[in-house]
This record gives sequence, C-alpha cells and structure tokens, in this order.
Amino acid sequence: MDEKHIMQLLHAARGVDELERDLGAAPSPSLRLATINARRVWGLRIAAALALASAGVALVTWHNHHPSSQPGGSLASGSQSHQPQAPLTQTNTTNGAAPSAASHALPKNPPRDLVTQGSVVLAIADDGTGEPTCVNWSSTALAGRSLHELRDEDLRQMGLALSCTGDTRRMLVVGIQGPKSALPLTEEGAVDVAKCMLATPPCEGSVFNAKACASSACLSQEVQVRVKSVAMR
Amino acid sequence: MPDKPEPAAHTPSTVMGLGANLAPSAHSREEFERAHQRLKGWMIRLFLENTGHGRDVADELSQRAWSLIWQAVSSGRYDPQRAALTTFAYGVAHNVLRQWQQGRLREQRRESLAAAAARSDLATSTDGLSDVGDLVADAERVDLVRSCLRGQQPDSGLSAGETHLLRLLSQGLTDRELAVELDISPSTANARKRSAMAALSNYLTKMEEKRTT
Repeated sequence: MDEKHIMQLLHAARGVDELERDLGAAPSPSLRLATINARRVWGLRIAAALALASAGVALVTWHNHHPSSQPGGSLASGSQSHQPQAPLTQTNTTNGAAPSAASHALPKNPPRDLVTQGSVVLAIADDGTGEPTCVNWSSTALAGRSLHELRDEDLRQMGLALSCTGDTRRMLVVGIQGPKSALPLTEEGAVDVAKCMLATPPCEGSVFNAKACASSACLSQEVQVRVKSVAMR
Repeated sequence: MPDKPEPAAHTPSTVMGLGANLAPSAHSREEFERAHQRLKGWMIRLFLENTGHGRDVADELSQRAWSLIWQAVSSGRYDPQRAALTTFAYGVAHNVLRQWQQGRLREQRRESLAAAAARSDLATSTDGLSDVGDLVADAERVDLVRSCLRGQQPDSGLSAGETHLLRLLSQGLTDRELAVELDISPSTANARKRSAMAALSNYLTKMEEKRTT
C-alpha cells in the first residue's frame, strides 16, 4: 500500500469521524423510506426550481446611508424617508416560544412544494445602534436545501458570503423558509424585517435567545426561521 | 446455493430500480433504511457543494450512490461486521462524486485525470466507478484506520507517538506544520511520517492477509 493510498485512507477516516459527529448532533429520523415519494416530488421540484431561478433575486443589497442614532428614528434613503415600521405580524411569543439555543426548533418535515414555497437568507449588519447599517439578502442561498438540514456553521458561512463590506460589530444571519407570500422577498420587506429584528425588545436570556424571540414577532408564523449571530470584531 | 426467493413488493431494491432478484433479510433492509434516513441530507449536501450544480444533479448522484449501497447490502457483499455502513456510504458517495468529476473533466479536457484523482479521498481507480467489492474493501480499511487512530488496535504495532502523528496527518497537516506541532525539524517530521505510514501500511496488509486466508 503506497503512501498516497495511506494518506487517502487517513483523510477518509477523518471525514467519516466528522460525519459521525455531525450526525450525532442531528435529530434522529423516522425509519420511513421516502425514496418513492422523493422521486415524484423532485420531478415537480426541478420544473419549479427552474421557474424560481429565473424569477429569483440572486443577491440584493440595501445600505442605510443615514443611520439614526435613536432606535425607531426616521431613516433617509436617497430622496425618500422611511418611518420605522411596526412588526409585520402580531406578537405571539407562545408560538415557537423562546428556544434555549440560537436556532428555533424546526418542524421535522420541510416544505415540499417549491411552486408556492421559497426561502431567503438575510445578513443584517448590526453596529449596536438599534438600526441595521446594511442588509444583504438572497433568495437562492439555500440552493434547495431545507433549513433543518443546515448546521449552524452552514448558516454562518452563508451569512459571511452575504455579509456587507465595511467594518461592523456584529452580523445577524436569518434563514427563513415557507410560503413565498410570507417571505420578505422585496427590498422593503427585507429592510422591515431587519429593522424589526434589531429593534424588538429582547426576551429574557442571552443575545442569541433575544434574536430568536424577536424573529417570532417580526415574521409570519407560517415560516420556519433559523437565526445565528456572528461577531465580526 | 439456495434458490433465489421472489422479491417482495416495494423493497428498497425495487424502489431503486435495480430489479434485484434477491430478497434481503429484514434486518439488512432495516439497516439500509436507517442509514438512508441518517445520511441522505449529508449526501445531498456533499454533491451540491462539490458539483456546483443544482439539486437535480445532486439527486441523480445520490440515487446512484444509494443504488450501489443497496446492491452491496442486499447481495451480502457488504459485511457490517467489517465496516460501519456510514463508512461504506461515505466511500461510495465520494467514489460516485469522483466518477462524475472525471466525466466532466473528460468532457472539458482541462486537467489530467491524475490531478483529479489526487483530489479524491479514495482513489482506487481512475477509470470510472470502482467495483462494489473494492468499495467494500476500502470501507473496511478506513474503519480499521479509524480504530487505529483511536488507539483501539493494540496489536497494530503503532507506538503512541506514531498514532499521534497519524492523527495529525489525517487532519491535513503538512510536513512543516507537523514539525511545528511536534517541535522537531521538518526533515525529522518527514522521516517519522514515513515510518508511521509504513507501520500502518504493514498492519493493514497483515489484516487483509489474515482475512483472505
């Protein structure tokens, strides 16, 4: 056995160990074999994904050019001024109530119909002023994956890929998946969610918990959400 | 040789479109289903991240990999006593990925096949997909290496230092990084690396000879 083969075996051994470790952290699945159904569903998904890709926004950036020093103050963007918006939905802290980790506990079955379902990942730059200084978002970042399949590191990497240039204290990465009608797929919608996430009073507990709680007030209860806070400095 | 039993309806082999003639045991079917549920997300991610293509390609490759895995499980060529199903699935998935990548390279004619094989984890063949038997054998070797790295093979002949060094190598450390980690010169690190790899190779060969005799 030559050295090259031994090296390959060593790398594979490490790869399998890491895989086992990741699987050990994942919720245990049911034993139901979904292959037959998956083949039928994916035939539909391929067609839907093509339609989505042509309509989807690859990457959109919004910058707060005139950040307000007061939370809830008016915001000027170009020649328009935007008043802070109320949360998008009625506050309901009993639905998906404050998880102890950075991510919500997600339903086990991800959305199946891509024609009406979609996803968006927001990267919100937070300088501690209560207002986002920049928001980047992408409706294709998940690339067909389900939120519950992602590791925290995956979400963090997506956020870093979407992160705004320039110096910022912290970035909030928000993955949202659900009915397209409930997603912030426009600039206005994404900015509203970003402002709400940073302005909503925190729940009890750590900063991670606070943002996870805020998401339930800022988004429709129909969507699944995962939130990760990334220190940039 | 016993007569081949009739395949049961809606067995995984039928689902996979293999038209297998064997009806595997309920236990192996259960193990396969369990592994499928555990690993399907990981496998899709692997193909999505490494092909740079969409979900349809990832699905296609995933189906190919699961077909191979089921083939090995249902035919009895995969022996769960010798290698974990996770290890075997890992090897099959990377093998399928490599085959796809080599196919793309042949189409595009941009790089040599040798360079492509060098990027793979388990390069047992440069000519498309490895035989199922080779994949099973490689999975057994990987699991043996894993238990050596955990210090669970006292008869391996590997010293504690060699085991530690092999663990560092598995993490992808270069000779220079090894030297820094072990506080030795790069040339000494290289010599110790070769010695440790030779010791591991001898042990793996000995185990394979023991198995075949």
